[in-house]
Amino acid sequence: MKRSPGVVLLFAGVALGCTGTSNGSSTSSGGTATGRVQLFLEAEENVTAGLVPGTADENIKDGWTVTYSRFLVNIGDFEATQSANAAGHLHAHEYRVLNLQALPASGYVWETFENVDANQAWDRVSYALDRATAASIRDPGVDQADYDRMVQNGYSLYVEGSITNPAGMACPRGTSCVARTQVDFRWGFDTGTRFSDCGPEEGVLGFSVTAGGTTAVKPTLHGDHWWFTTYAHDVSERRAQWLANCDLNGDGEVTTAELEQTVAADVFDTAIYNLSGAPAGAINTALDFARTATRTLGHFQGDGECEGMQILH
Amino acid sequence: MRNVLSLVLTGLLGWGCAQPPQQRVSFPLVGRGVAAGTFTARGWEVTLTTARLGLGPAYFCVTQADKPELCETPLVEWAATATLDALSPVDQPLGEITGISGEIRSVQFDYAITWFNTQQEPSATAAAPDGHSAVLAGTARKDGNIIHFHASVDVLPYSQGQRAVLGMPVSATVDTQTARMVGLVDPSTWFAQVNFDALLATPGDGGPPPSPQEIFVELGPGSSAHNALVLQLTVNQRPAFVAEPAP
Repeated sequence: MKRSPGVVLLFAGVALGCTGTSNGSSTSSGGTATGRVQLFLEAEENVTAGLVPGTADENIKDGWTVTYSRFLVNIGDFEATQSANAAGHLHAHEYRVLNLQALPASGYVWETFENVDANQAWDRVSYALDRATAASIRDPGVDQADYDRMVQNGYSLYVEGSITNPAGMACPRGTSCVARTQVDFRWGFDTGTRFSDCGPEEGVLGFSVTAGGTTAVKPTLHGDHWWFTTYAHDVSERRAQWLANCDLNGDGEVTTAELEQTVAADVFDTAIYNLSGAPAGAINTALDFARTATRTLGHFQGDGECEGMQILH
Repeated sequence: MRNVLSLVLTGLLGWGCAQPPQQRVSFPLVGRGVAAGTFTARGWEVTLTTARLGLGPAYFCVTQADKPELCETPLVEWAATATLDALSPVDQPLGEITGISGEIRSVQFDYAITWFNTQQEPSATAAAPDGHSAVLAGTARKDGNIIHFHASVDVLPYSQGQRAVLGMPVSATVDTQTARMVGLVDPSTWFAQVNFDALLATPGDGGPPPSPQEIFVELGPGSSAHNALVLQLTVNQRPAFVAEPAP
């Protein structure tokens, strides 16, 4: 049956309103109050500054200094909807490979949405870290070789760095300790995770738009979760000795292969660690621990939580 | 047209408002282990002769497991503790679960050692076997070596006010038709990361351990074997909680 031109135009209008675009606009619930939303990507300070030993909450408690030299992510598929307005939909589809250590000091503007409904809260917010593909956009802050590494390996995250301690020891599998003042790591992860139901530290989920103004919305990636001693972040310590104890061949570098060969019980002392809230499967090896950490990096507006997590890969 | 539209709207509104009301529920919790047998753990043949487990209290939540801090009020709870013979495959009454009906997505629980906000330090409850979370005993054999072991396992909450197991996924619907909940344990899985090789005596010159050996070992707190048992109990091999409807 041929559709009438009127029906075709109606479907086209509905489609545009429902899917949104990268400069997406929302359908107002009936009022005329709208504003602009600027979507920023933030990285926690420790991604560039690292972590130092000490006794403060965010210090490394067992004497190690953590330094990152590369911190690449493939991030995208930001989405925001409104419980009170089924037509409200903001969506930035594309994935971007970004160097979290090269974000502008003024903030990395991921996307800008115009004419966004300011009458109702945007209380369902999500975004994803997922495997890089050839469709991922290379941010200018990422050199071609790094981009190719991400895409060719399907990494969602690639991190390089080292832990140092002038009095450091490495005790592979908890025994035969030797002096080790530096341990390097170069890890790529192909985990895919959607962080959803994101909200600020205080207040309701999501965000509200200022009518006639610009609202900053900031998915935030944290950089210290490999050093947590529990998944209850508000009470966790940060420790790095476990990594030194994974240097099975004593060459000063811990590879993902060594992580996989290290039984979790050999490096995570349960008098110090409680990994019972692990959000994604068993932790049988140190690699399981490291991969699980990547599934917890997504936050919102700084230290706000994303209460939902979906495993994509 | 208007009458059809009003009928449609009424139906939609009726469906949206007709969620089942929450009702008070109460049903027994039973525990069940597995019959004693021999299993393999990191290359060793292990036979358990004793596996007594202290369990509880347990709080079942509508929130996801990885956000235990969001479960301020559990949907249903077992606010008691009990001792379970993990080598017995028969149903063992543990207590009563009470609360309101709904969908469970996670559970937080202790292994009979609690650290409530009202307690200065972790404290063993009366149901903790010999004052511990678990008492395990048996033998491990490999290449002619025999290790007779005994373990008094303490699973402590990480900090005051928290449970030892902060959050574990559970998928269950509880309502007035729920007959009981079953807690299933398999102690053979608790030994998957225990390094029995490291328990053998080794000469001081770094050479291979003399063989064969027959030794008696206490796997107490602070030992790597105790660490391995706690990791399994808290992370990888926790009880399975299954809600069963009336037949």
